[in-house]
Amino acid sequence: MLVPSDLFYTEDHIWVKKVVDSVLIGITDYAQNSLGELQYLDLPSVGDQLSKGVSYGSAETSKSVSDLFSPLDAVVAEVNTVLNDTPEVINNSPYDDGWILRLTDYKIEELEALLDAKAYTEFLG
Amino acid sequence: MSATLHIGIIGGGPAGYVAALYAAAEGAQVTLVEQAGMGGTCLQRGCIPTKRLVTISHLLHKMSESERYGIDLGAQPLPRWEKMCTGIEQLVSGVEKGLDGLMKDRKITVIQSTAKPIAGVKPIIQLVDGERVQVDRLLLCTGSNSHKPALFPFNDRSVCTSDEIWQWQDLPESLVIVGEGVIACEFAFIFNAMGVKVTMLGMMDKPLPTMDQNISNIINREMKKKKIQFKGGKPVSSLKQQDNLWQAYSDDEILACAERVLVCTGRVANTEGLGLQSNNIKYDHRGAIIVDEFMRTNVPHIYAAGDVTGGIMLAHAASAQAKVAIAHMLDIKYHSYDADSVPYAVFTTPEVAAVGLTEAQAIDREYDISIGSFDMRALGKAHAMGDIAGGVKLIAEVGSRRLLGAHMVGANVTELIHEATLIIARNGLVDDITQTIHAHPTLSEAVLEAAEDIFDQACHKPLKQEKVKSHASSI
Repeated sequence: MLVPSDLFYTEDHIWVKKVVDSVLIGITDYAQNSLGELQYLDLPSVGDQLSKGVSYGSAETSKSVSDLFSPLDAVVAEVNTVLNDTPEVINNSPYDDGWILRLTDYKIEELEALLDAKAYTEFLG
Repeated sequence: MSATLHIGIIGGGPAGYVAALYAAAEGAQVTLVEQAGMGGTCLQRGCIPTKRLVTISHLLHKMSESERYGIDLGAQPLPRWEKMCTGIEQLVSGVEKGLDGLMKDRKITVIQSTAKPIAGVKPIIQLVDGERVQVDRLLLCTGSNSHKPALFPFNDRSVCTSDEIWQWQDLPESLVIVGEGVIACEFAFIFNAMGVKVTMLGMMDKPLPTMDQNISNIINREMKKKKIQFKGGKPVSSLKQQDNLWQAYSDDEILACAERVLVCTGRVANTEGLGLQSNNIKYDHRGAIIVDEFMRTNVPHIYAAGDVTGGIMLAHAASAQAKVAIAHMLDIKYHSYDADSVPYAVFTTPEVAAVGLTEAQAIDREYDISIGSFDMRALGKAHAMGDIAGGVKLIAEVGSRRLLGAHMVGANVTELIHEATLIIARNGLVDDITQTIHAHPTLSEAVLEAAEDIFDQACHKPLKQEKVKSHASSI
């Protein structure tokens, strides 16, 4: 399983990447592999307020509909609209083209309290 | 009670015609007065015509996925509204002939007329030509009309209710649907399938807000997948026309604009011409006739059933109430009408069905509950059909193991709901489901698995970390 060293992670298999004064989030390689081919993503809108640990949407495959949990209290600044018609981009490129949301208005200490690559790899066991 | 009791019925919809058939079968003399077509709103403009539209929408969906099923369709299928309506007229006419045949078979006197009741020891039905029919008992079943809020400029064409869509000559390119309930949702999916750009404007945050939250959430997502736009939380305060488009406003904010507006904001009891005040028949603040548990009004020998009494405004509720009324008139022992075991069937795509308590209602009533669920996409049958959306959610009481509620989304769930409806109507247990063999491969297996999931381990779900078994012994 790919676990890039420069990202933060959560036990819900979300990755978080700091980009200047906002963060990008997505689902990890482990998550996309477990879920299987993504068929649809139900995502929030720009301006929506997200709460840490609370579901903000869902990822649908032929096997399941899984909640997507926010890693931080934050506001949605951008949604990756490529995923509207081609959600399978996440399966092919979970950490790059498959980013899901860009968030702003988060607390830096909440970000730094997330798992690093080593801790997430240990969590995966 | 004398077998020759003469029962008069005003209104030939699901309450009226069912009452007539039942009463005649039990030996009563029956006179039914209907002002328009037999079958009421249900047959003429509602349930039956829209189910043909739903069938058409399913066909269009499958056609759009034909490659997936190994079929090369060639040209793009084109829905033609006028042709659909012609087909629906034939459908309605055929069903109406069937009803007429049943009436004749039971020697029911059917009169086409508007009618006004006149209260008395022997009530009178006064017809439009002045003729009077005296009866022993009278049942009022005049149904309901679509709610037409005064602030909208209805023109029965580009701003209309579900009653008037049958007069359209063609499909609009875009449609605003005002409302978020059952009828609004059904039409959203129907017209979306026909290529219309649909925007729903609801007062509440989500579609189907009075149903279990799971249902609401799933339908919300299914709408998004089909690109049906739902905007909730802001009531539409006005509609203004600009360049052949209608703009829907909430105060000064434009919410949406479209070629036509379909207003689906509920139904109101139809009591026009019944002379409620002159007959001293009591009605509530919404104009619906007040009845007791036997469907009696406050006026002796006058009963009412169906939408005209408000309550659950569904055809099958109307028919059930009508039978209660007739049974009381004829002094026949009959089970009472139980509003808590009325099933709900919503013909969206995927379908929705429910009976009994929602999770929120069960918690409010302080039941100690356990919930079982099962996704349709875990069933081979659902995948074979290509209809994997939705699932079954069952709510039971811990301890007694009584089934309290069933909430379903998916293909054919409007049929599947009856297993749970039967159990809830009989105060039955979860075990009634788990101890019954369900045929394979069917979608009903989702009901079995959800029932197993409540207190135990569903066969086709990942192993639970902790099983919750109740203390009551299984049968």
